[in-house]
This record gives sequence, C-alpha cells and structure tokens, in this order.
Amino acid sequence: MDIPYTINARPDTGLYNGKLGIWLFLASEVMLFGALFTAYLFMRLGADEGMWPEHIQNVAIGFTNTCLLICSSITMVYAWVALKERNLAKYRAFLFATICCGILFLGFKAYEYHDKWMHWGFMVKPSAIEKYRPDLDKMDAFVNWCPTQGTDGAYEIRGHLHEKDDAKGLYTFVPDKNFHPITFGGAPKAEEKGAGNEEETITVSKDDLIRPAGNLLPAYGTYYAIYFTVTGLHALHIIGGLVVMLYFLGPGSFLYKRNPEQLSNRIEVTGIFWHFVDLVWITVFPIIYLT
Amino acid sequence: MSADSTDHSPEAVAGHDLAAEAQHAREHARENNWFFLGFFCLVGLAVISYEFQGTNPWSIAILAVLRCSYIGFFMFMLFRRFNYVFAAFLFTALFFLGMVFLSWWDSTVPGIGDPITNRNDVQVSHPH
Repeated sequence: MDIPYTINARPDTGLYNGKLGIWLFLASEVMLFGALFTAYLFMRLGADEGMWPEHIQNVAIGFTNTCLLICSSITMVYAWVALKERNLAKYRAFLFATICCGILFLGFKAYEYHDKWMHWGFMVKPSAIEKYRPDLDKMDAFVNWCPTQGTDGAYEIRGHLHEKDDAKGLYTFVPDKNFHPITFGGAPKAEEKGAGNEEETITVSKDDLIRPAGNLLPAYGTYYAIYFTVTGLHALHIIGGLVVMLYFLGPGSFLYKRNPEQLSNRIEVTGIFWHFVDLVWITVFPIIYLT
Repeated sequence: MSADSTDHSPEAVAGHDLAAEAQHAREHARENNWFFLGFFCLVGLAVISYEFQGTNPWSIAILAVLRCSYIGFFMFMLFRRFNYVFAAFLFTALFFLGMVFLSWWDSTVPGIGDPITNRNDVQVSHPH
C-alpha cells in the first residue's frame, strides 16, 4: 500500500507528511529549549552577588561557531536547491560542506569544553587575600568578591591550572586577567595598568581556600551547570543532524535514482531541523557568551 | 486514502514542473541568504557592543541606537511581504523603543543599567 502525501502536499494542510512531522517535532523542541532558557533567566536573576561569572567565555570561538552554523544553513539550502535542479554532484558537494561546518562546530565546542576542564576556580579566604594581592594587582588579575560564600565571604580567582601539588596542597595557575572593554578613549588598557606576562603564574595554598578548588564544570556553580546543559543539548542536536546528513550523503542518496523528489523532500525536512538548531545557537550565543 | 494513493505515482511526480520548482527553490535560497545575513549582522553588532561596552554613556547610546535601528530594519524586512506594512512598521517602532530601553537597562550606566548586579548594592538600589 502506498503511503499518501510523501511527495505532494496534502491539499488542506499544504504540507507533506515529513514536513508536518518536523514542524510538530520542532514545536516540542521549542518547548524544551524554551524551558531551559527560562530556567537560565531565573537562575541568573536569583544568583547571589558575584556568583554569576562575566566575561568567562571565549567570544571569538563562540562567534566563529555562529558563523559556521550560519554558513552551514546556507549550504544546506543550496543542497536542496541542487536536488530541485536534479544535480546530484552539486547536492553532494553542498551537503558535504554542511557536514564539514557541523564537524568544525563540534571541534570548537570540544576545545571549549577542554578549556573549561583546565580552567580552575579558587575561593580565597578574606583573611588570606592580602598575601596574594600584590602579585594579583601586578598581573592585572581578575578578583571576584563573593559575599555569600563561606562565613565571611570569599575572593574568587580563576585561571588555567599549571601545576598541582597534592602533597603540599599547592595550586600553580595562570590567573584570568581583568576584562577591559574597548572604549572611545575611556578606560586604560590592560598593558597600561601594568599587566605582566600572559603566562605569569601564581601559587595558592589549599589552606587559604574556603572550599576545595575545582575546575569550571557543572559542579562548580549554577552558571556552569546551565552552560553545559544548554550547549551540551545543542551539541547533541548537531550530532543528530550530522548523522542524518551523513546518511543522506551516503546510502540515503541512492533514493535519488528511484525518486529524486522524495529525496528532495527529505533534505528539505533535514534543512528545517538544521535551521532550527542554527537559530537555537543564535539565541544561546548572546545570552551565554556575551555576559 | 484510496483517492490519495496516486499521490506519488510516477505520473504525479512527472506532473511536477521541475523548471518552475527549481526556480522557486533558487528564490527561496536567495531569501534565506538575506535572512541569515540579517541574523549574522545582528550577532555581529551584539559582539561589537560587547567588546565596546563601558561606562561612557555616549558609546552605549550610539551602539544601542545602531543595534535597535538594525533590529527595526530587519523586522521591517521580515514583515515586508505582508500587506499590513503599516502595522509591521508600527510594531517595529514599538520594538525599537523597547530595545532602546533594554539596551540601556543592560548597560553599566549608573542608576539605569545592570539592575541584576546592582540590586545587591544598597547604595544603588536604595540610594536614600
């Protein structure tokens, strides 16, 4: 028995089966990501002072990933156009380009996750901070006051771990620098404030911390938990899209010989999903990276 | 269902005007390009605003107006295909005003901006 409306649209809805299915699926996806964005908003509003990190993300990488996904959306549409033109070679080339963009996106994402793994946070006791203050000031290091941490508050210092001596309880790391926005002749630049060598390290003792040091993974704080949840779920969608596209680049493309219009519809539906994933990222990027 | 069983028969597929469909697909792709270019510019402006942020009210104001103008233009472009252009334009104007407010609210201008950070600062939230 033939399944109706796999190629032509049903007259009353104007949609063929696949398209109706993907829009229903995307409606559920909107609810899923909508709930996560709402959770993000409430967590941010409810965060204690100093506990919502700012300027922690690598904006250049986030922006590069945005560009990659936008480019991939464009190549995806052209893959569909190529099928409409009945040009299989062009279709494969554009689909391959889309897959490459997706893989590059995941590569940058993996780099970011690795960076978070190597990035540590240290909550220094207020009574001990003066010991490190001269070096921190010299390096123009970022020091974050967190009044709700511990009994008397704590000063948070973050940086990339250089060396960890468990026996002596010492952590040597390259501290994060203060963020210096580009102003129209306003605030002095980092170098003018006496920032030292980018690789200059500082060593803190475990005894001076209010709690054990930790890398910037979900357990470290609410921001990191929501960051990994949202970007991780988004990355899973990218992986899902890539699997589907790889199928249509390989075995799935043999449908072209039998029924090119049906393949064209399938690629259109895949493209709609891919655009959605792209749009989610365009929302994720400003709210998570540009804070 | 029986009436639909011929839906993707070879005749039905052959009935497609391939040239017209290909032309339509190309137009669709061109529109998509503009759409994604619009999004790209929007994100680009957001990044520029982020990198240029500061406490200088003029720089914030200029960037805020730039972003809002662009968003307004972008929204206008999205709504241009409809007949109720005036309604879309009105919506754009309201959206523009809303975004001007939000951009200032999101800035670090003392007294107006960054209420999320400032709400714990008694001197800012309760100056008297």
